Amino acid sequence: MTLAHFPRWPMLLDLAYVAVGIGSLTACWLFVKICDRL
Amino acid sequence: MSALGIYQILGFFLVILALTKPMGAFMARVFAGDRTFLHPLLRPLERLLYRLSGVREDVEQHWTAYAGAMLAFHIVKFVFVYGIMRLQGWLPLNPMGFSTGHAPANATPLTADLAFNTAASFLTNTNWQAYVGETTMSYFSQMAGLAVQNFTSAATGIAIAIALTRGFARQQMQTIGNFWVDLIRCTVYILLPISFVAALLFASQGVVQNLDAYTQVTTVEGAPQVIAQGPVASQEAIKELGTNGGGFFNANSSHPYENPTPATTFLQMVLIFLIPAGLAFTFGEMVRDRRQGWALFAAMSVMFLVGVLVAYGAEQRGNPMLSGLGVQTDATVAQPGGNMEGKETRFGIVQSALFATVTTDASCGAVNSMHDSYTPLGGLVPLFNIQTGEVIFGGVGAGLYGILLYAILAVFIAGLMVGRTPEYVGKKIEQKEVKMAMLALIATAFSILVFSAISSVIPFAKGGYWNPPGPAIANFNNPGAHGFSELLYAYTSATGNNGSAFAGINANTPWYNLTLGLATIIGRFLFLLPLMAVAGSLAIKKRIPVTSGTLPTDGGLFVGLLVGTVVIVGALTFFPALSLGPAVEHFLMKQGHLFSVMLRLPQGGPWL
Repeated sequence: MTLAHFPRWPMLLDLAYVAVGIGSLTACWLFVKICDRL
Repeated sequence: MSALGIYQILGFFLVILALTKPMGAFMARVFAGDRTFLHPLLRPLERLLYRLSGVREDVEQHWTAYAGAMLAFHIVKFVFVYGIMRLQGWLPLNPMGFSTGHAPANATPLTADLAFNTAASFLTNTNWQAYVGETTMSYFSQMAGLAVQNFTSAATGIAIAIALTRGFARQQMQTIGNFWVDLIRCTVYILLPISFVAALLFASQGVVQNLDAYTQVTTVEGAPQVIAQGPVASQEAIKELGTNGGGFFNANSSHPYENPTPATTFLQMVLIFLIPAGLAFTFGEMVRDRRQGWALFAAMSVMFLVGVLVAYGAEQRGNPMLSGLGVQTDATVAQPGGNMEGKETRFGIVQSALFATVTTDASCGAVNSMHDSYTPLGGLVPLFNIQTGEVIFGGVGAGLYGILLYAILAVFIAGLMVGRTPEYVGKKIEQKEVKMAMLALIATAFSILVFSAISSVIPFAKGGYWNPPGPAIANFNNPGAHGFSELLYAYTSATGNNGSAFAGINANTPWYNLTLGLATIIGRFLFLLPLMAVAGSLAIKKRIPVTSGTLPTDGGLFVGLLVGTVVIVGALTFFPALSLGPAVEHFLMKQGHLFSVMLRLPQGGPWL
């Protein structure tokens, strides 16, 4: 298999799930800021 | 319960008691940067890692910088392990060809949602597994992806606990340590050496360690069988020591290649409690009052012993409906009696109940028996253990910072009773600390209860993307109260970063993979970040002298208060949900109603 065999739909899904992962961890940084203010 | 069973439980506890002080004292020296007997061998490696990463071990961080470094590290880890899993078909050490066109017919596709769930799960020390290890993961994914997470997630938890302890130990300081230094010291001096020795011990007992393709054999009955192989011993060691719990094989520690003998079971349980118990002593050592550490240890021990005796008693009594049918359920020299469904005969009831209690007291999640097959009360113990926040020794690091959260609440409640400003270990517990403690508790309870509630009612079209079986409850193997227990256990386990499963629920669908993955992240970070804020707040404060008005926190009264706080907060938060699951199931069982797996005979026959 090569990258050419990698279907486009799963690649979009990959981007979405990676974004959810990175986004939720980044949101935790906002939580740090909230905890610092409280 | 038999005398032999009680002796096994007490014997295990005495071994933990004996190891607590040496382990705790050793960890205190490691994190203080003092010389240990491992320094001649490992100090060059530690210095090399500092040089390669550009970390200065003499520079400390404010709590927000410490938290920021930890979160940045986790973002990189998430992308790294996600990438390895999704690209495993192109990576080496994949003799079975998973994620390629040559994969076995029964291989589980490593889809994007499954990779997200697994990455989040291993990142957060949860190790919830919605996949079957031996039919999904290549050796490279297991070793370079998941095992690395096992080490780093364990080291992260311990680092946070040490940072919080520094908050109590220091005064008038803005910093709580350096995340990178704590991470490296923990990995180099604690996790790697013990894992190395434990892996050798496991291999000596028959745990496999190879990179071979799976073995094809013919059984004595003439049937073909595939026997999975892999680098199991090395993963088994950190799986238990780091309270990770993710099994190399689907059957986890009930698989003979992961846990072949009663001796390896005992060693696994000791490894699970070794660091969490030692950290209680480390706390006392670092705050220069060992009695404080022993008080935490005593509170954990009381809850552990009560839990294991309830679970063991319930499992040994077994199912009254079977004994009512004339089935011999008493222990005899020829059979263990009780409820042996889902348990290995080589472990019997006591080692199964003890393991189930240990693995859920700690946030480990390894299993050597199937919790789904426990009696209602036997299954309630693991569930309640996780719902208390896993503070009964707890996960590596997570147990200590969790019990310190409850200690803050306990002195706050005691302070309200007598009208004095609460103090703990010489630090005034004020508005900030109590707000943070409540925030941590509410965030985790919210995750468990809200996700469980949504999944109980959310409709999905059959064959759709999010949940192909249909509504979220269509994924249960059992109807009624037992099915609800399976669901509640899943979100409890994920949020509690435990990772054990009640089984009986097919969680490998995008809906469950996404929500359970998010639950692991919420349970990990929304619990520990407020406690890091507490660390920062406490480090600035002066230590105040003990007066006649100070509540002693190193005696029996405080231990009782602490245990009461853990149990009452857990009960108040989760009692309604528990009453709909295991509690109602227990009473229905007493009336002769069971929630067995539903099977339908062919040609539209009746449900069995």
